[in-house]
Amino acid sequence: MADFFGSLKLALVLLLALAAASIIGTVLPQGESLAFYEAHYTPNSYKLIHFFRLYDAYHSFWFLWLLLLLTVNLVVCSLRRLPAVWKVAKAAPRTVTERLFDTLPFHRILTFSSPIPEGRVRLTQLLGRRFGRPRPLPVPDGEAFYLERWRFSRFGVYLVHFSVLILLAGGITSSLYGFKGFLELAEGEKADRIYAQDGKSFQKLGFQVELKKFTMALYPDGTPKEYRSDLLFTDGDGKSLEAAVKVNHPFTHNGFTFYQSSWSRVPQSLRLRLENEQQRLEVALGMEERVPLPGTPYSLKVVRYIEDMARFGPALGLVLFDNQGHMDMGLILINHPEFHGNRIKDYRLRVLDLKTRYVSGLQVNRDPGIGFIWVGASLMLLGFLSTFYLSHRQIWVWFRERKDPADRLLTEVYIGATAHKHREAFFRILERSLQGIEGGRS
Amino acid sequence: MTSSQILSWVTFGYFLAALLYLLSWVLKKEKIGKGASGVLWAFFFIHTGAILLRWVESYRLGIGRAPLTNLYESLILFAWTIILLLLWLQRKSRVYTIGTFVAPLAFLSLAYASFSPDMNTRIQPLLPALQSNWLIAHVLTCFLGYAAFAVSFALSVMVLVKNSVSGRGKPAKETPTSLPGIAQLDEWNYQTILFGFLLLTVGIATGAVWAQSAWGRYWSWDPKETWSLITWLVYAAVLHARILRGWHGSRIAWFSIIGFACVLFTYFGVNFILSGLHSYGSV
Repeated sequence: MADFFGSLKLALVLLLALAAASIIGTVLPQGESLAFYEAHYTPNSYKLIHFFRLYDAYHSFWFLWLLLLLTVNLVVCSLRRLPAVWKVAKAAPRTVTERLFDTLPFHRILTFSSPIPEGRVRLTQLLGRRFGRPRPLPVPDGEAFYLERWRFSRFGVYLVHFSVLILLAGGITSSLYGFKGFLELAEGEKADRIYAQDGKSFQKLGFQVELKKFTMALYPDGTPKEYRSDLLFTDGDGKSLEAAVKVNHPFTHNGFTFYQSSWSRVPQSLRLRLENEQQRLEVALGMEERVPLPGTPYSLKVVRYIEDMARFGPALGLVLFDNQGHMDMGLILINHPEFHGNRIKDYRLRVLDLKTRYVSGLQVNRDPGIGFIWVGASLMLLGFLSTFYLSHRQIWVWFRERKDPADRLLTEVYIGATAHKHREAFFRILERSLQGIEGGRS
Repeated sequence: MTSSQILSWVTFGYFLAALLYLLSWVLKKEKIGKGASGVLWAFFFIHTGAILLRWVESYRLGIGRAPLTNLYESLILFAWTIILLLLWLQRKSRVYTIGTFVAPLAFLSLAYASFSPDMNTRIQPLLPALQSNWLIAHVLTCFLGYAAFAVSFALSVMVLVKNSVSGRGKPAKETPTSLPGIAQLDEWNYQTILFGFLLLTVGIATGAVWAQSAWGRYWSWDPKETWSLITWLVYAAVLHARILRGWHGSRIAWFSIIGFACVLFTYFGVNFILSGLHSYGSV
């Protein structure tokens, strides 16, 4: 079992299967109603789409199963390899022998005719300080040292695997415990709850948020440059805080993050003139406010404001009620008083004055998974850097004194080194630092 | 002269360099290779200058933004990152034949940018969603990653060519104008894929940070995101196959070519065939 779940073959198959499965959601429109797929695809394709939930491929049971399998594969595979790597990495060198130097992939013997000063000083002269801090090793004969660097890089690949688990945990946390809501606030309006994006549930904020002001800046050519909402947050204990939210500059308050998402404009107050053969009236009214027309059986209500009606500029949707319960509706172009359609019943309507205010559309999220994502991504990068570009570099050095045939005292220096990766580059550097040693001869 | 005009000249410069690289390989003349390299260096500096000039031009228009925000500018950056990696690899390896296979890719990218009839070369202001400090980090890392995969693609083609050539006759002596041995090509290919994979990961991560601050969603299965993930998964499989199963030479080469096809689809296919949030990529 563990052989199967921990196998590399399974890992390769899963990576490629996930890649192939991910294509589906980029080709087939996602998140449409079932009726949409029934209308646009053949009955058989529709059956497939319905059964395999291809309309929400990335949350379908089989996609989650693939992810789960990959997780199991990753864990089993890492756990099976880790003890051996751990043992190698933890193994501290006890002593040095001639045999050790023979087995190391890099070995040199330098001979110095002069007797040596203290070994540690000589070592620094030989290698400098860039190969790590020398640690003395017990030897019966002479002096020996061990130097190492970047031992942790042996674990880099497990760090990467671990980071994938953290990322998956973050994704799961986001989708289970995260809340994505939407809030539309007109200037001067307050809210203490947000509605979920599907509109079915709401979430209490635990504080009050008010839109003080919405501003929009344009480039000279008229394209938008900046949208900005100035918000006022008031907590239950009356403490308040002002903050601006712009696109790319969200603001977080008590765990809820506010993002600038959209905007619109609604009338704040209007003055209208109604005219027919008999009379001429002027009324002042606000949005959604039913106002009786004096001297008539009618009342009037503004139900809609359209920012740009078929490129003719802003328009108002109005309803005229009579006292019998009948309604008449009309759309009025605000900037085109001459337009013949600006009438309801036999009244000609004209907007005399219109004050608008902005409505800011804010996305409001609470996402407890986000911390996992940033930690996971950072660990993954650290893991990549250490596993791609670093290797565990180990050096052993042994100083021994010996007499030459003429009975002069010589010093032999055994140098051996290895690295678990990128050996050639390491040995090149080592070679370079050993070159030009005075009196050195290998 | 405007930056766009200079860049259309750079296109010819890279074509000339690619041609000289090809000649140096066919005629086995190291001098021609040196010449090709000189031409490439010269036009690379001009290319760099043109990108900076475009940046300055945007300030003169009162817009002031890094030239990294539409298809035209991304193609120019793509060519630039490809040449950057080529010059680096050539300096390290002292082999001119790499240029024979890599330089044409940069030429094609610039030629598409400069001579496609429906390419928008104007400098336009940045929409609020694109005004972010993450723009430069995200775009640069993604394109360095793409360029590394392009170089890996070229090296893979070299592996396949070498494989089909070395079948006959005895192995020729390696010179700066001959194809390096399979083992050497394979090692460079591997190093390039590692670099590309690292940069693609950073690119996806910076994209996620940016998406989180712009839209409040670090991942939204937008086609571009999804295809970058597909590319990532394919190269992850390549690395596992090589490191743990010991795949080498032409097997890795074919695998890497498939990976580059995914890169191309992430870059172009998503913009032209699918739709999504990365609207800057459209013509």
